[in-house]
Order: sequence, then C-alpha cells, then structure tokens
Amino acid sequence: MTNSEYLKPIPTWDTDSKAFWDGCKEHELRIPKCNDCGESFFPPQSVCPKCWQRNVSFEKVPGTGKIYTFAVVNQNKSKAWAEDVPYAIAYVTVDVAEVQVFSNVVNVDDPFKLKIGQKVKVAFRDINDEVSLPIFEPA
Amino acid sequence: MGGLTRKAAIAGVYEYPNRNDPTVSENAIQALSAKKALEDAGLDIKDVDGLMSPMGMGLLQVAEYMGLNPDLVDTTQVGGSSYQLHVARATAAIAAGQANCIVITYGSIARSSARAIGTGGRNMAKPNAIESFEVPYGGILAGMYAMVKNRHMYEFGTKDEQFANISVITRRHAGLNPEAMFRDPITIDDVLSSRVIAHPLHLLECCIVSDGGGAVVVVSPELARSIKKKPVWVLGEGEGYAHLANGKRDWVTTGAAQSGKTAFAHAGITHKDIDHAMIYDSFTITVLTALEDLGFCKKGEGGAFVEGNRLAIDGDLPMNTDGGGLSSNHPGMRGLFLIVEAVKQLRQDYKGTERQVPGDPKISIAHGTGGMLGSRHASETLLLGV
Repeated sequence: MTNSEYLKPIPTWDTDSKAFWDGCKEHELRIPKCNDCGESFFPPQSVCPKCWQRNVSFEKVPGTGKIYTFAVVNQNKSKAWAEDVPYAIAYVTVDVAEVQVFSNVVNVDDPFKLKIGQKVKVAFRDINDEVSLPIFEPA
Repeated sequence: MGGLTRKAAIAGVYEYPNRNDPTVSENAIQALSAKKALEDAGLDIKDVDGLMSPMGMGLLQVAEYMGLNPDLVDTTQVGGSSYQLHVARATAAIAAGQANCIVITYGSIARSSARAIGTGGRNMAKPNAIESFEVPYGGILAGMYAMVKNRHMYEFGTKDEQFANISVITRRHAGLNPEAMFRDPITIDDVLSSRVIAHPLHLLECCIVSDGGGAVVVVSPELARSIKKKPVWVLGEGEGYAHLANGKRDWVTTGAAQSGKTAFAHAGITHKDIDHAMIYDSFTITVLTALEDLGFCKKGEGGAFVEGNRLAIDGDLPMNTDGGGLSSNHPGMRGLFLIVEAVKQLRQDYKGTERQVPGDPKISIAHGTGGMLGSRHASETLLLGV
C-alpha cells in the first residue's frame, strides 16, 4: 500500500515516543520500562511517570495480551473509515509489561462477537516505509 | 472542612433558547446571554468586573465584543465541565477580594455550522505524538465512551435496559421543557432498537447536537443582598482529573470519585441532603458512572440505581430536569446548562408547573464531565443551595 492510498491519520512521534515507533518498524512491540524503579508504562515517554528519572529502556514484549475492553465503531463520518465499519477499537493489556495499549482488533469475522478477556496478539500494518502501526488479532 | 461554602452566590442565569440559529455568532450568543443573566439578577453591565469562558486567548475577543476591561479573567479549558470549574474559580476570586461580579459565558453554533459532537468522527490528518496513540485507530468519541460501558457491563452485569432508562426519563423531562429539541416520549425498546453508533452504545444513548449558550453571574455576599431574585449559594466544589494512568487505568471509575468526595466534604453535607441533581449526560454511561462515583450508590450498583422512577422529576432524586444533553440541547460543552437549571429549580422559577421539582428543594448538585471517558477527562462537582 502506498502512502497516497492511505486515507487514515498517520502516526507522528517526538523524542518521547520515537523508540516505540522504531520498534514497530521492525515489527517488535517495545514497551518502556524505568531502569531505576522498574515501572512499565504506556503510552511511551522518556521520563518515568513514577520516579521522574530519565533512565528508560524500551523492552521487547511477546506481543500477546488480553482484551481489557473494546467497542465496535459502527458509524464514522470520515470516508477514510467507510470500508472499515464496523471495526473494533480496544484497550489490550499486554503480557509481561501488563499495561493497556489502545489499538484495533482486526481479522475477526464479526467484531460484535469479540469478548472482554479474549486472547489477542500483535500484528503490524505497514503504512509506508517509515511507519508501521501496531494492531491486534485473535491469538 | 476547607472549601468555599457561601463565599459567593449565583445571582443570575440565562440559557440561550435557540437550538438551530444561523443568524448569530458565538460571540453574539455570549454577549446577549450575559446581558440577560445580568437582567435576571437586576445588575448592570457596569457592575461586571470579571469575565470567564474556557476559550484561552479567545476570551479577549469576547471581552472586546462586550466592551469590557475586566479586572480578572479565567480561560481554563477542561471540556464540558469547564463551567463548574469557573464557578469555583469565581467563588475563590470573590472570597479573595479580587472581584465582586463575575460573568461566565458560553456560545456555540455547533448545529448550524454542522459540527457533529456525540456521534461524529475524530479524525485529524496529522495527529501529534500523543494523539498518535488514539487517532490512527479510529477511536471516535462515542467509541471511547462505549468501551467504558462495555467494561461496566462485563464487570457488574449492568444491563442495556438499565442504561436505556436514563434516556427514557431524560426524554420525559424534555417533554416538560418547551425549548427542548426532542420532546416526544420514548421507550426502552425505542432506545435499544435505535441504530448502534459504537457498540454497545445506541443512538438514543448519545447526546444530541444543537446550537446554544448562556451565562451565569457570580457575585459577592454583599452584592447578593441587593439582587432581584433569591441568591443561590455555592456550598461546595471539587475537582477530579483522570487520564490513562500510564496504562494502568481502572476505566469504570471516573474523576467524579475525587471531585465528589472533595465537594461533599467542603459543603459538610451528605447525599441525603441532595434534592435535585444535574449530571452531565454526554452518554448514558457518563451518568451511570458519575452517580456511582459521586457516592449516590456503590460502584457497580448504578444499573439498579437508575431503574424505575427514581431519577424522574417526581422521584427520589430528580435528575436532568431540563431534558439534558440527551434530549434538550448539547452544543459541545454542556456544563453551564447544569448550573442554569439547578439555579432555576432552587429558586423555584417553575413553581406552579409540572417542571418544578416538587417539595421545597434546597440543595442541588451540578456535576460536569469534560473531555472523554475512556480517555482523559475532567470531573467537576458543584453543590449549590438556597
């Protein structure tokens, strides 16, 4: 898929989140963790939200997890999503880091039949050469 | 105790009545409403020494539009609950002697300029670094709230019918308000057979889109003695802010748990003292979680609490008696209307009509939820009394 065909908003990053998106480009889910206090957190930031130290590593996690909650968007007035409705949005609690990641759950026959607690695993949608979007599908 | 009990009073209120009005600008709505609210109080333009509206630097344009050079402004923007916060800030400023007569204004032409609120999209061509963790996934506003509803149903077994009853009762109240946008009665079946916007939220569980605006005048105790109508006192105020909690959020608990606790402690009252409630109703889930978190029932028992007639005007806790954002009006930030209706009920402006809360209501709660459940939001609680 080339950039010109992709109508949906494309992620951008700053110094807090670049390491996360770099991981996505390599199809790895990397969750930030404080080397000082051990706290894992999401979304990414370069300073730990618990101890406020700037000593954070982005650690690869297996990419498996469970749906914490989800909704099925059945109406979106933007034409970028016209062919996607109905689609699922979800908070997925990812294994190991145990943090909630907001994303889509895709590759399901009927998103209305998804269940909270259902096991999912990460996949990556290559938007262009620079950006890959982490999404989830049933495990 | 602390807090701001009876340090200032609401002297005048006004709600701009038109729901779809292509003839006015947002600044015009604010100026016209401010004038009407001052008339309601029996005060004059020259009495005004403070101006508040959640507009950032845009507030200076409003001041200019109204020919005001206020001694004090507040432009804090925390979404639809900004007006609860402004009444608290105005009260604090008056208590500190910084101002005597503060006007809080709102104006929006969301409908006539065709901006979808409750059911619309949230698509930005180029999200910033933080937005990039929500926007690329098509997380529309209703979808974020729907995730909270879904989790509530999962954790506590809350039923769709219970949520729908909130819409049904609110619509009944809209039937009593000639200015409400949707007034025909609806049933639980109507709600649950309306189209799904974002499962598990149905269309009739989502706020409507209207134009609107209004103004509230907050004055010092000294000035309150000279006004035309009964002053309505600020008894307590509380704030609560909720965000993603760095990936560890309990999404069924809102900022109201914090704001409500503070407000009740400051006022020195309990839930039994509340005669009337205005609870921000962007969606049914917004109401149900707020009632739990404010302490009207335990967490998880909101479904049973909103069943039956309890929240109706002749029930134990008359709620959203103007028809709410679900049926009367929702121009984007509804918090100001919660205050307007609470003041009118406490002054018994509707006396002799079906719209007046029966008995002798003394205390009302006006609780706003700004931003988004399921994402970052600002909960602001005001307790008002006569």
